[in-house]
Amino acid sequence: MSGAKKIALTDRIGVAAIYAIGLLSLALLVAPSLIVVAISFDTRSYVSFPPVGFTFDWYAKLFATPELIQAMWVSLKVGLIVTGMCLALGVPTAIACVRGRFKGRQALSVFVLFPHMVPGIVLGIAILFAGATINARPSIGLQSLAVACFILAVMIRIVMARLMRLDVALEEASANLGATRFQTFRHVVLPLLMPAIWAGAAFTFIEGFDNISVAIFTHGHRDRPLPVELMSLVQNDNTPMVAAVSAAQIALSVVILGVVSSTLGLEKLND
Amino acid sequence: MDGAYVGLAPFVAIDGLTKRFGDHVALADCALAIGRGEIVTLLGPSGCGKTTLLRCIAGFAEPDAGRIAIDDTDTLALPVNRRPVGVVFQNYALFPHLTVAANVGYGLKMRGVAKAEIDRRVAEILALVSLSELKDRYPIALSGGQQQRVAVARALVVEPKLLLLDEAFNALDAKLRAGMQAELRKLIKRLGMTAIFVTHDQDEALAISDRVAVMGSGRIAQVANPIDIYDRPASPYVAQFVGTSNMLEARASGGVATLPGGIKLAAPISGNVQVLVRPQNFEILDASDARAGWQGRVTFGRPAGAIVEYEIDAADGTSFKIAALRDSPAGHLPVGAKVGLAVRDAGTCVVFEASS
Ligand SMILES: Nc1ncnc2c1ncn2[C@@H]1O[C@H](COP(=O)(O)OP(=O)(O)OP(=O)(O)O)[C@@H](O)[C@H]1O
Ligand SMILES: [Mg+2]
Repeated sequence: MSGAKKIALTDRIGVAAIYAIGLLSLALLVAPSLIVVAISFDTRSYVSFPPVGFTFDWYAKLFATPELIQAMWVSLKVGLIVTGMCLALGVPTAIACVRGRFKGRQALSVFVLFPHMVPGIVLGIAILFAGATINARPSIGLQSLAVACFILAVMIRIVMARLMRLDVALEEASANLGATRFQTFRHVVLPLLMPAIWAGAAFTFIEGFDNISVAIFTHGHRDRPLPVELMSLVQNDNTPMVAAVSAAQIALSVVILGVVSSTLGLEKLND
Repeated sequence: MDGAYVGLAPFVAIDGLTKRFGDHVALADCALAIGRGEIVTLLGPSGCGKTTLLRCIAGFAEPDAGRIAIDDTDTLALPVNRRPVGVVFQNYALFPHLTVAANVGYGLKMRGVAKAEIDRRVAEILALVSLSELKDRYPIALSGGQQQRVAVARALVVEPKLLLLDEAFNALDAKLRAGMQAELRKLIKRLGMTAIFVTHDQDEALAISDRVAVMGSGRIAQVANPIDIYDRPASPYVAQFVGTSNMLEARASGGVATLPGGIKLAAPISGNVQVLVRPQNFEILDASDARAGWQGRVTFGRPAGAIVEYEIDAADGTSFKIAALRDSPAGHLPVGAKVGLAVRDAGTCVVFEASS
């Protein structure tokens, strides 16, 4: 064994560098969230870091603020509607884009990604004006539609990626064993797409819940979603309650992704 | 005699089958007749259209022209899921989210067979392929050989009239492969099933089939039993694809072709001809031996089991592939040795028209 595997110094430096970059990226991604969480427990009545004490007061105040609770319900509704719309439209579209045999299939699979490339604010204004022409006023419905339009591409991409890696031979085998097209979809394709569908649902729900760029132009005036409510809160109020609301939102996202990854395994999203 | 199908109306009749991909002709006017209970192998080099032919039979591809009948029923008119054909896919295509039992029972379930009946038939077929213990495993937890048996069981349990196997042994290592070939042949024969195997491995074709259809660039070059394919190839293409061959040039006139060394062969044609001589049909002589038709020098020698394979280059540049028994006097020739060569038996040579 002696000296059998001596790792070259350059290799060790390389590995160390990769670790360093990885840790730095992770820190940059996570640190802001951690700071927000820390501030939300501060005892001072203005936002400042580092915190000097520990209290749940801001959370208590949060739950005692009816506008925030109301906004949370609105966002929850929007999240669910957006998820529903993206499932209903995204899954069939992804299947058509990958397995379809019609003219313009390639064009379609690029076209459906467009709304996601337009800046959210532009898309929001566009849908606001488009809605006005058919008398659709800003509302939970219009906001959901707009956000769904924005995030549909993500659902489609996730499902398409999974489908492209599904061996066509599985579907041929199913047909060969006597299954109709619907049976093949029901018993082979759908179960194997499930991890991707769950992942897509999680991402679209989170987007529906906390999108602001599109929502700010399309939300109903009496149905202000959480991010919009939060923004006006930040403008008028500088207490750590803002941080508490953000922390609650972060917690929700963590819970959703945690559930998805532990029941399906996040690694499954990649295969 | 030539191994063509003889008997009543064939069980599987393929006629004039043509398939193009753009301007590439993948199948050109293929015809094949298979008797009930027969095992036929499609043998040919990569890209010659074997898989395409299977896919046309199974309904995964649609031919541009031609006819396929199975048991007197026009098969091309049936949708994929109604064809009486079972397929064992190249990489088995087992459903990864289903257990072995559910994979095998899948076809029955799709046909609406009752649960108890499914269980009974699945248990029966799993016993037949000795997989009963593994019925609750998922495909990912099976070895290659076990996966192959699941794939075979899954295809057989719905009782197809014709079984198609595309390179079914490719994923197995050489030793397991030989065992599985013999086992599968026995199983298919026991069930009286008709089967088409696809392979580009000639040993596999010879080991498993009643008849071999040799394919080349979209055409079926010859259909015959394995021995006739080897001994009486219908064309130089078949001769060169199956086994090792030496193609010698000669002239024929008056129904006789003459090889160097005075060997005379019956030749149905006149003019320039090619003569197939198999490696073991040469005798290695002393360089000075008067019977020798050629003088040459050993350039390469390789022991392979009981024989030695030599490459011997003649003075005129012709290269011969020769096989000699290892425990014969010619079994230990060093590279560079000068030898004489003679054809042993004119009767096993095959004469072809020279390809201009
Ligand atoms: N879907 C397709 N589109 C275009 N060309 C195809 C398609 N399928 C097959 N071909 C072509 O048709 C020819 C025959 O292919 P096929 O798969 O039948 O060969 P094969 O004999 O099975 O070869 P292998 O032993 O490598 O599997 C090849 O030249 C291949 O490139
Ligand atoms: Mg093939």
